[in-house]
Amino acid sequence: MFNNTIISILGDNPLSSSQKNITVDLQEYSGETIEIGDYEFEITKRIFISGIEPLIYVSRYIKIGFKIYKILHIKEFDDYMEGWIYELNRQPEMT
Amino acid sequence: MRKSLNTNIDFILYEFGKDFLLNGITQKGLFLEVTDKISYYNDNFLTTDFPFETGSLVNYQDSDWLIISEINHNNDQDMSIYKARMRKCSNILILNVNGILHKVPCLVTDKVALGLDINTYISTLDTQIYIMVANDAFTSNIKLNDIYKIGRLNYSVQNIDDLTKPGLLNIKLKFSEVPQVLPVYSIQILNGESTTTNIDIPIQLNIKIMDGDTILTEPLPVVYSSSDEAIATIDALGYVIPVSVGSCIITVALESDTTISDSLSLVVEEVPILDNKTVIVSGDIEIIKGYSKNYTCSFQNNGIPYSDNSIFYIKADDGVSATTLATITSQNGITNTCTIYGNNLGYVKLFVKNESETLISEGFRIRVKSLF
Repeated sequence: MFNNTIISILGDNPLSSSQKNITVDLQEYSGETIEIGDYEFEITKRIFISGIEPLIYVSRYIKIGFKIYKILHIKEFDDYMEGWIYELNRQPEMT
Repeated sequence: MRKSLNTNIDFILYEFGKDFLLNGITQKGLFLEVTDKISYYNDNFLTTDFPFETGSLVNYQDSDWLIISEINHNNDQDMSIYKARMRKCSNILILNVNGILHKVPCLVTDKVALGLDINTYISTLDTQIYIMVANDAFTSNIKLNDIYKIGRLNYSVQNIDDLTKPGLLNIKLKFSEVPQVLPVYSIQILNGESTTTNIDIPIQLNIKIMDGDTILTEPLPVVYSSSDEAIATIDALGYVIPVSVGSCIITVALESDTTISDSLSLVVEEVPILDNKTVIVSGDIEIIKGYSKNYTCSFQNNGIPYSDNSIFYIKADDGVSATTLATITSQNGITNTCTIYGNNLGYVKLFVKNESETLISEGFRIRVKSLF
């Protein structure tokens, strides 16, 4: 696991401010989609987090660089977490 | 992998939600085109996180839509989601309620398509049509035998069904050779096409509303507006308040149809400065008996000198009686000067007036004194 990408954990709203910065392993990903209601979301990135980070859960938003992502799925293992993230089409305006 | 919409509605609304008007109020919702059947009608599903009702009017993508289905509610206590089918309104009927014309979006359909379960591919020409409108305070004015122009033709109301679909009215109409008679309104500002005022003077706009050639004795609701509120504002009663120097267009329009309007070109000027003219005499206050002194006068308007022709004259010290204590030996009305010779000891008053005698100075007191 290459923990070389810093992410900001936001709240449950893409406009909320950063609560914590952590280092994760960010990987490109393809082939998985998540359906919510009538909408389909293609997962293009995954994050791997060493240990269990209680602030990371489904419905949270994270910021990587200047982009906001939504965590759509979480897999928890004994010593790490895997998160499927979706890059928002409607990126909030940065202030 | 599927996830629940209930727990993600905020996210979906943020990502895909679009602004629309629900009964005139801005809201955000999800719109999804109905693609289950190819039909003549243009249907969308509307999903929101707030309640609404069958028969609600939606303005979306610059078109009017009618909620035509029951509202599907997910019954989730934590996150309520409401979903319904809406159909794009194809026509408008004009409803005259106490003289105010209301445009009512409606769906024109044939008989079999009144139900949601059946969609026909082709509607047949008939002398009867069916329309669907919202069941609200305006459409409750629709009565049997009323005549409405829908499309190019006129139809009379044969039957009104307000029971089958709560929130909606299904109305059966039949072709009518008698046309719908609607008032032909016009509005006129009686203050003229243009007017000028200054910053200190408001203007009351006077208007008349006519139906054809008849002046309405009970005016219809109107809206006033100013093209530039930095120049002048106007309140709901047509009272224009100048704000700054410049020009703007003041408009009045029928509230129910803003295309019926009239305008006035307003020019706001500075407050004019009123004339405050004076004439002031200057010179020595003493003349030695047997000698002369020169005197001048200055005409001023609000303190600023201006040119006028002067006429000097002398009175006794009371300012009224004639005197021989001093004499004006010469004067020049253009250069506003005069020369006075002291005859005998005492006081005199020198006055000056302009040629048109609209201005007279105060008396300038001069003492004629002895040399020693």
